[in-house]
Amino acid sequence: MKAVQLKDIRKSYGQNPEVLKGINAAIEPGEFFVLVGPSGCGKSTMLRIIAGLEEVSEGELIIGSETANRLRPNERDLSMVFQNYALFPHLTVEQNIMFGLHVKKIAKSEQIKRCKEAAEMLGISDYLMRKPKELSGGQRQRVALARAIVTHAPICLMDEPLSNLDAKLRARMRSEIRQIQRKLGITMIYVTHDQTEAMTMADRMMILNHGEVQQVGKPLDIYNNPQNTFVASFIGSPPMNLTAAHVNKGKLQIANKWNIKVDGYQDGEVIIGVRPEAILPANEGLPAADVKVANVEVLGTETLVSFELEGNKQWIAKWPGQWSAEIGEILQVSVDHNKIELFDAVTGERLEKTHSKKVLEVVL
Amino acid sequence: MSLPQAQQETQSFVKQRWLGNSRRFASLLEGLLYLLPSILLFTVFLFYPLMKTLYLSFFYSDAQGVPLSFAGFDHFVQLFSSSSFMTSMKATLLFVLYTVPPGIILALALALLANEKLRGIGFFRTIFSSTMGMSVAASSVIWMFMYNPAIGIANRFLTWAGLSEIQWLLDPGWALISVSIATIWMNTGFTFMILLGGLQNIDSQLYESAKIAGVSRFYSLRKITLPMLSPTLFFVITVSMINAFQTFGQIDILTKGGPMETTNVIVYAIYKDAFINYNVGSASAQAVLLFFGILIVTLIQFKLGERKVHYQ
Amino acid sequence: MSWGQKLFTYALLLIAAAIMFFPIIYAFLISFMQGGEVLQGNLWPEEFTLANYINAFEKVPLLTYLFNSLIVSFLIMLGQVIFSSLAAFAFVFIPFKGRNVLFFIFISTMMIPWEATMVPNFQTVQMLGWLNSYTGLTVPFFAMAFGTFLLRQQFKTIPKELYEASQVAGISNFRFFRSVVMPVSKTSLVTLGMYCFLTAWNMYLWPLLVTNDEQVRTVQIGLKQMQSQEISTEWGVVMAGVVMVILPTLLLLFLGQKRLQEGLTKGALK
Repeated sequence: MKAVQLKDIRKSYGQNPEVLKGINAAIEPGEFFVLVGPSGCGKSTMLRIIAGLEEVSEGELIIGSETANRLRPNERDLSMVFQNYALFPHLTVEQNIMFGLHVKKIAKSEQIKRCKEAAEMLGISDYLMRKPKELSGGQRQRVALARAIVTHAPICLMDEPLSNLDAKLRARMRSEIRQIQRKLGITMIYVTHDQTEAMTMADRMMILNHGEVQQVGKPLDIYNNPQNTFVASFIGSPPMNLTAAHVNKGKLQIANKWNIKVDGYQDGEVIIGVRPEAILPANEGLPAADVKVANVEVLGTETLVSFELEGNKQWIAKWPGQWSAEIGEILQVSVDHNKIELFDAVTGERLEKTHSKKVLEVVL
Repeated sequence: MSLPQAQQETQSFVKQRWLGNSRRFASLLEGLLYLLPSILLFTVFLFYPLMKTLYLSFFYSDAQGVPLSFAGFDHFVQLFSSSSFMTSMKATLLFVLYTVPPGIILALALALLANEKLRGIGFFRTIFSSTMGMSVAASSVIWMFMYNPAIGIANRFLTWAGLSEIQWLLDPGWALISVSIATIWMNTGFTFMILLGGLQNIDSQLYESAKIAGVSRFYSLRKITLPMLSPTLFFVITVSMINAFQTFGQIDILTKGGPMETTNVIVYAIYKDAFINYNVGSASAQAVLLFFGILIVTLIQFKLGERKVHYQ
Repeated sequence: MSWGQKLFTYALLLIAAAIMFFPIIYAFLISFMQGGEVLQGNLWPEEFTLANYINAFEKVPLLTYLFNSLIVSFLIMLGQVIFSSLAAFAFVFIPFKGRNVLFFIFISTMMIPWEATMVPNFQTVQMLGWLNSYTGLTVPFFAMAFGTFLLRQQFKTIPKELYEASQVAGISNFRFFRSVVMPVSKTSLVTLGMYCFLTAWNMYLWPLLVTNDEQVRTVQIGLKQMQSQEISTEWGVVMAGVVMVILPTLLLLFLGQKRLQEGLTKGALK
């Protein structure tokens, strides 16, 4: 169980602009740490730097208690699971799992013992003599996991390990990986572009965009308090509704539909964010406004209602249960004012709540 | 942070940087180690002799090829004023002309035929590529017999068809053509195989969409097959031309450069000058010309190819 | 395709096949004829006789030649495959400064006609005392730009992650080369090997220059020798020799035509 520390890590290739622009993070021992962001945000580069597959351009990488910038990958005491699993096609599952253990000077009998344990843990004991191409995607994934487990390395790196699986299997592997990590107590650094994976698996997560850290924290803290509009729109599904609005003499005006009294904000343009579940059907005593339904998706346990706000701008509301609404129908909806987030219109940074907000009136 | 500690960290950082540099150096050494066998052989048996050829072409040498005195451009001047060399140049260029375009057209026709999805097509593909397994020596011997004026099949066929017989390899007007026909046959296997591979690499969906559009087979040949095949054709043309310039075996067996030097192509001329007439200087000068000839052909090919070839 | 089109295509295929394969069939037929028949210009032997083959083996040391060719081709094949794969491995998996320049130099060697270097090469081999030896026949050909190029294409298709997984596991480069790259690329190696064997077996000019001793002479040169000795009289014997020369390579080609075609196209086109 080792800690990993990143101190102002920068990475650039030749004259090109930096891929990583000064990353700082401290990953605790035994933590499940997720790096998440859209493609091209630098998360894989970050992971590969930790693995030693890429060199650091600037900054310091500390693994355990020593500087690891120049250590070879195998000197870093870690294991890695690749997106395409990186199984050797000419070796059997068993040989794949034990691949490279001899370098660590582990006796043959111990190798076999570890292989058996890992195979059992992952339920692939029956396939040990098969070649990778005779396995399904999920089984290959398990072999790749087993190969990481048998090294008994205190740190495990995973690069989008579930992205080649279908949705159902992905959900199952999420919980399996999480359970294994808890059982072995290893430090896990996990890269994904899928915010659901990040939300459900992480102890803590780091959101990256354009090579910069957007926010680090526990999934729920990030969900509830996104630092900026990028995080707000990236985390959560469907994403947070974001709309330009303006503050005028202590009143927040949203699309000529709602006026909300706010304190402690300067007059001017802002961006407001409302989670879909913070938009409510108008029956809870809150002032409501009329909106026109644009689309309805009934998902069984919940219903997603898109409605027109102004112009082409649409918002999505998420309501529990099954709602039947016609397209074009006028509905009355309210906004839970306690859950509105305000962001700077220029920088997109979160504006701190200093005072309470109140729904004052509804302009029709 | 206390001072000694900071110092220690700086030291460790310096050490690591040094480690990084030395690692890069080690990587260079390791890379070169893997390349060493090839580099060594290329140096000894390709680069060095190429330089040596260039060097020898400027010297008068003895029969063993030991340079005796500086000759300047004498060998080149002599070559360009000798009718024998001019004949050789003409023979080489004609040989390229006689073998490359017809050879490629033949192989392309066969490849198009063999690209049809028919029962038993594998058999035909194997037959068409069979000459790739035929050595130049064996093929030449067979063709020599076929060209035999008295008992060979060639003249028997002409007689049967009511035409007059030809002294294939002995007639100065026919010898180069005869050798060219034999050569085309020998090269068809390889050319066919590469072209067929190129055809099979073309996405079949392109043809399917052409079929849905209802265009004729000839139209899709012209508008889909040939453009998509152009990288392969380009490769095949380059290789065939280079091969034609390097022809030796069939000449040595079929005609020995005769009759009246009409088939004395450049490599055969080099061979004769160097190993029969022991005129190493002249042979080297011709080798230099061959080198530049091929260089120019390749460069022209690439220049043209850049513009004409459609890469997928 | 309609029935008519099919029939037409088959007819064309058959005619083309008959013409293309005729010289080979012809050689086979002549090799089974008796001397008199050959001189009459017959096409089909009245009686299939093995006399020419017995004759061929008695008149020239054909067996020795075949054996020499086998050894020489095998050595060249081995050398080319090993040297090419080592070089290709470095070009794909070991990053170092100047790698691209070096690769360009490798590729450009394909443009140097071997014949332009044969005089100094002959002198070198002579100086090394390699005339009339397997060494002289084989070693100059071990380095092969085309093979390096072909294998580089193949090695590039190996997922980079396999290499990275090996690095994380701490496997040395050479071990990765030996126990992952080579086995994974078996098909390409076999294809290249076949190609090398074919070309080596069919080599003509170089063996002609560096051998004048029957003990190491290859079968191609043996064929030339037969042909120039027996020319006017015993064509049947010469053809028997031809058949012995082409049989191994034809068999190799028939067995591996498809694979060879796929392998060579891949190398030529990307």
